[in-house]
Amino acid sequence: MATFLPAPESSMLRARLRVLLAVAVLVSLSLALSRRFGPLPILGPFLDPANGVWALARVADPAGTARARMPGLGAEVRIVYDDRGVPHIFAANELDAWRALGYAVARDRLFQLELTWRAGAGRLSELLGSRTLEADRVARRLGLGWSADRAMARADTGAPAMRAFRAYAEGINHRIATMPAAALPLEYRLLGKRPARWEAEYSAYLLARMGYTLAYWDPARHRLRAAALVGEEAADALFPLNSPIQEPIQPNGQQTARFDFRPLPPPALPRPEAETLVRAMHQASIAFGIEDGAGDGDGVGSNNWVVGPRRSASGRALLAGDPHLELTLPSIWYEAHVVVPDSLDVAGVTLPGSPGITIGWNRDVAWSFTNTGGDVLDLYLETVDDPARPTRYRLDGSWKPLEARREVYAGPDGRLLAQDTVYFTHRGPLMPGERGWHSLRWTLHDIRPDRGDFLQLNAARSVGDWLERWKQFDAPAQNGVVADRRGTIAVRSTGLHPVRPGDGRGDVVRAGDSSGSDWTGFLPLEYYPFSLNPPQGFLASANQQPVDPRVNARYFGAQWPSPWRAMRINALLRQDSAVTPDAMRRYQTDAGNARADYFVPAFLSAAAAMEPADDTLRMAARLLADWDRRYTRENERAVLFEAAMDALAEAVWDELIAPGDSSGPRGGAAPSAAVLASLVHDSTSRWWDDQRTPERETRDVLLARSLRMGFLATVRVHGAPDAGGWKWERIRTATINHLLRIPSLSARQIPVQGGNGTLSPSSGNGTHGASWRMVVELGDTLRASAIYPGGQSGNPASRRYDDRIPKWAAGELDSVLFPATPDAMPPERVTSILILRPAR
Amino acid sequence: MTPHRAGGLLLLVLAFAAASWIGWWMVPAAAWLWGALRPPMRRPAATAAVAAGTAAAAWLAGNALMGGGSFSLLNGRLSELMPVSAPVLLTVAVLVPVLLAWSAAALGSALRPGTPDLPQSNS
Repeated sequence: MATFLPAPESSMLRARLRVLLAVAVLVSLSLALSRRFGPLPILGPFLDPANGVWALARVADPAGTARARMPGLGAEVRIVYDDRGVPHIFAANELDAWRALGYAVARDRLFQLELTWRAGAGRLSELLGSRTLEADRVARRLGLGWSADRAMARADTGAPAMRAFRAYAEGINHRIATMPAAALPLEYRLLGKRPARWEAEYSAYLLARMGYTLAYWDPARHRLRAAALVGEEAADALFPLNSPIQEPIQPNGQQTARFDFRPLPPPALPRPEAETLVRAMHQASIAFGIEDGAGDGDGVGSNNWVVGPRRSASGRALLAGDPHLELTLPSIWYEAHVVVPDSLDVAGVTLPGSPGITIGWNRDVAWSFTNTGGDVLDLYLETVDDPARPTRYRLDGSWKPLEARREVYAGPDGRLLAQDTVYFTHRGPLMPGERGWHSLRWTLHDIRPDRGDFLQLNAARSVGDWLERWKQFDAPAQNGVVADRRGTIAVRSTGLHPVRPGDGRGDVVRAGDSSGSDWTGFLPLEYYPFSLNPPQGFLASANQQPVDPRVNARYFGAQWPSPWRAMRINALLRQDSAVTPDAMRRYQTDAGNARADYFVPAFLSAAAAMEPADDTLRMAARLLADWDRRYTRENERAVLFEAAMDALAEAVWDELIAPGDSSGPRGGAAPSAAVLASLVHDSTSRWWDDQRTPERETRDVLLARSLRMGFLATVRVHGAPDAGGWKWERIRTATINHLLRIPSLSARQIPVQGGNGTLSPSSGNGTHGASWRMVVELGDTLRASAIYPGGQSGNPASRRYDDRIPKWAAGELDSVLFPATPDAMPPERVTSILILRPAR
Repeated sequence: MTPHRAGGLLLLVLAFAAASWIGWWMVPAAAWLWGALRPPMRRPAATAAVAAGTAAAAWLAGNALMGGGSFSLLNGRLSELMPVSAPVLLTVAVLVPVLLAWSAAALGSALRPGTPDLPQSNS
């Protein structure tokens, strides 16, 4: 290098430059590695070769035998992991078992645990930032955490459930405290956070959150919206209290579904006062985050059924459980088996965050749930003293003070994001709307987590015992099916069912200024929909109206999902007098569809009546007639039927499109397909007239036109009929999103069998579906098989993160191990053992 | 390389591996100390860089060996998750301790007490 300096000076300069370079490298790198840049994680700890992200591979699938000490344990606990990643927990007493379960769940699902309690408490923003602020606000306005805190504060701290919550919390916290640095879940690394300590009351937040998922919708809004557009009488018929097709959970003695079709009153003049109410309610609903409605239920829904010994091939009782929920990675469920000598021997799935098996079996009993979907929520229009800053509300002619609760929302760095004041009347939280303040009365505010209803089920010894333990369950109301090894079967829709004043209906908004509008109590147990060992020899529930109103006319809810799934499963069970566990498994993903069985002949008949038919309609009718009405993955006709059904709903319910509304009447705001089915019986109803066209349409004209339009739309989107684009697996897929919606940690575009109204329904975006499938044969030896879409581990480096998805998508089940002792585990299926000993 | 020097380098690799286990920030701290201790080696900063890089690679190899298929599974997910591919990330994971160790050791060596003149600090 040419230089103008003498050699020593040049050397000195190079050295100085080297030092400057070293300073620059060290300082800039240190800063870059310890700060967050945009969506990137903090790179120093993330890229650390020893305990950074790659260390997750080291701890992904533990093998061999490990030992640890845990404070609080009364005796040694042995956790044997099988080759499906399921922990079999062998403990000497129940509290030790729940401690170990908390530890095991935290080992596999630590981030999910934190996300779950934060969602219930409305404290997601402290972890995820302002993007979850609105979700937090809704949770707090609804009083999810408030009701859980209140319930826990009132609880008897010595109650067995409270002791179980504390033991479970100890297990989780022990895992957090002793977790090796390598095991810090990926999500915490991405967020640059550490796990928060778990408190016992968080289990109540989880239950509140489940209530929000399953029991948070109000049928009043749809009916009011319709009344605003087509009048009260028509609205009552379009959004009826009772399903026009009766195939109830509690058998009504019929051998087939009953069609209670009546002519729909024609659309009448709009009702302006209803429009006012709708607008007011809309504002309150937005503030409360109320779901637009349970929807038609054709695209989502759970199933369960039991078959008595007379109708099973083995002469033993069989039970199938198939709860449908949002599909996530990791799954909402965690599979576990808990054994305490002379006390517990229970397996199935637990909700991470709560001790006990929620759905599953023990040596004597198996059980599963579907959501009842009853109307357990009402809005009241309140009169307040100051609409801007209310302090009191009017009740029975006097002013009552409002309870005010200050809600403060912080971000991940502790900085204040927002603050609200949430007011409460004696009914519940209060929120402003366009025309006034609405208060919310909801059964979820009456929950009693300290009763430990799910925990109690775990030790049931017979169907009778199970029903007794389950009778006080509050919310969200569930249709529980149960079978025991003696061959008894039963179903009951258990949960708080409010009793309202007057006509008892809940699909209205009541005036809040009178305590006479308040609920007068809850239905007593003897009125719950129920059946024990019915003559038909089986029982099934699929979210349909639980009881035939001719049998029990009490108000349980309104706008029930169309009972297509119930019709299908009942038809399958009626025609099979020797049901096997494998048949139960096949039924869970059965491709048949009662909805298609009903509407396809109507379309074909209408097309045949159109003379002369054009070539397009003839082609559409021929293709539809070819269809076997099954939603298999290879099927190339289901897409045409679905497009025709969409076009039909759009054309028939045109009167329900509000002026200026471009979204149309479809979705939650449209009447159910069961109501549409009743309309098919009335060929000249005024509803068949599409008022957007000059001519007066009849049923056949509109059905044929919808089929033609459906065909054209299908060709436009998916190409020619037999070019491959119409294959069902290309159109309807399952999407299992990661909890934070991170694409690379999600499983998307999974081809599955099933469609709207099938037993394994798939919604439009595929994000909901069978969250757990199980088939249990009870007897002297219990046989169970099960699966859920995901895997036991929450660690994306583990092969058990998503290893069950292929079998789940194919409708297969895993054979489940149910050993009574550690020695009864087949050694070749043991992958690791964890021995927890009491701390010295 | 003499056995004596190889043994010294191995010890240094182990020291950086241990430092890395405590936390990424311990790597420059250890390198600074190494540079300041007047190590009996030529080019102490470069030696520190080699040792830190070797320790990082050893940790990654250990993760891969102990994780089996999990390591490649994780890399596949990381490639989709991060703006760069997994091989680039792995390279960065080794380069970062190399640069940290070199720069810290060079500074430790240059600024150690009693250093008569900057040109004598070998790097």
